[in-house]
Amino acid sequence: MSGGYSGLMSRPARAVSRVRPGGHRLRPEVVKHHQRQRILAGAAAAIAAQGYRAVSVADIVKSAAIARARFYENFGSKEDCFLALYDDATEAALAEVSGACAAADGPFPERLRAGLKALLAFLDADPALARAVVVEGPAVGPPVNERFESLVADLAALLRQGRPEDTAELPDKIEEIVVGGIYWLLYYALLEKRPKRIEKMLPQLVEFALIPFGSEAGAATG
Amino acid sequence: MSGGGRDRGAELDAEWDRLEACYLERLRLVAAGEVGLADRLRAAAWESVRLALECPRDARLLVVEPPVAGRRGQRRQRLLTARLAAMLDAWIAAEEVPGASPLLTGWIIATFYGVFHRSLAGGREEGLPAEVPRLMFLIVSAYAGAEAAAAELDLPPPAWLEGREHP
Repeated sequence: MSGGYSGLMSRPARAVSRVRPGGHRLRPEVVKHHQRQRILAGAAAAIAAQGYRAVSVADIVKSAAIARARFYENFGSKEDCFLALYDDATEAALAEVSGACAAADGPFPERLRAGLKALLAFLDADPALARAVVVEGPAVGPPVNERFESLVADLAALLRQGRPEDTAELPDKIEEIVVGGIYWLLYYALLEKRPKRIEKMLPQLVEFALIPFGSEAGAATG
Repeated sequence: MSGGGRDRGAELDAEWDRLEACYLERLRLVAAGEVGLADRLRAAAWESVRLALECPRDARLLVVEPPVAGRRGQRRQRLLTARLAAMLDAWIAAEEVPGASPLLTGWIIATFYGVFHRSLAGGREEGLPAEVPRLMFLIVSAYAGAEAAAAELDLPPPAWLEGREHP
């Protein structure tokens, strides 16, 4: 699991220590970055707890333990803040998945398993972020829908580029349907909070993702 | 959810109740005319497409709006999912599909929901007819294998779709 954003986001917002106002030598851009991350961590926690629709900027500010003015220096609105959270999270998740697929040795099912394992580990590393993005994302409407389309396309491309050459000719865009199915399986699991550790879904998600590729591909995962 | 003194939440619940009952009854009716699991699932898929094409507002209320509507909507989503799962469990049990995964019902619901949500949320319901064959290919592959599923790609659409312009 990479550090940086994931590591920061895995801690409660209040644990992201405040930068003492004045009296330090940190560059303004470092302070601004730190504030931004603090706000995003607070937003994830608040949205996961209350739901996107119910949460207010005041809730986010309280969760982040930051002044309201600092929020509006970074984001124009609740939606603006959530979209930044969504973009950061999906970019980080995609990097984890594609990195894991590229690093994995072995045939297609092993690479697919590695990618899914990385995705589930990413979600388990920050349950509040996972719930905020996966479960509450659809609540935002068109701006997230567009981003989701882009994410599906990127993940489907990963699935498509790695698939075995000797698989039977598959229907066009079957990978998009598989990715969509995986998303909603994760959605329901996070909505129901079952299983508590998303990583336990790995075997069933691998089995599901390999459906179009036939029993030989599935058997190869062991 | 509230406005003008009306309990919009209660109104929404009533509308959801009506739509869900109507939708589930339609699925039962179309499936009752079929014998095998694939035929029932396909009939259900095409009936869902018909709803999306003829009543897109209602389809969006069933599929797109629940996640948007906060905790109340998520509760509705759980309810509809549970009812669909019970229906699918009964169809699968009636088929006695050898080697079918116990997870098959969940996979079917997630896959169908994924296809319909993406299309309806993006205002692309006119593209749904093209999705049904590949949707059915994936679902039938899950319990009968890719060879059996390949036949789904060559089946003609239902008669009611003929003459209707779609991509």
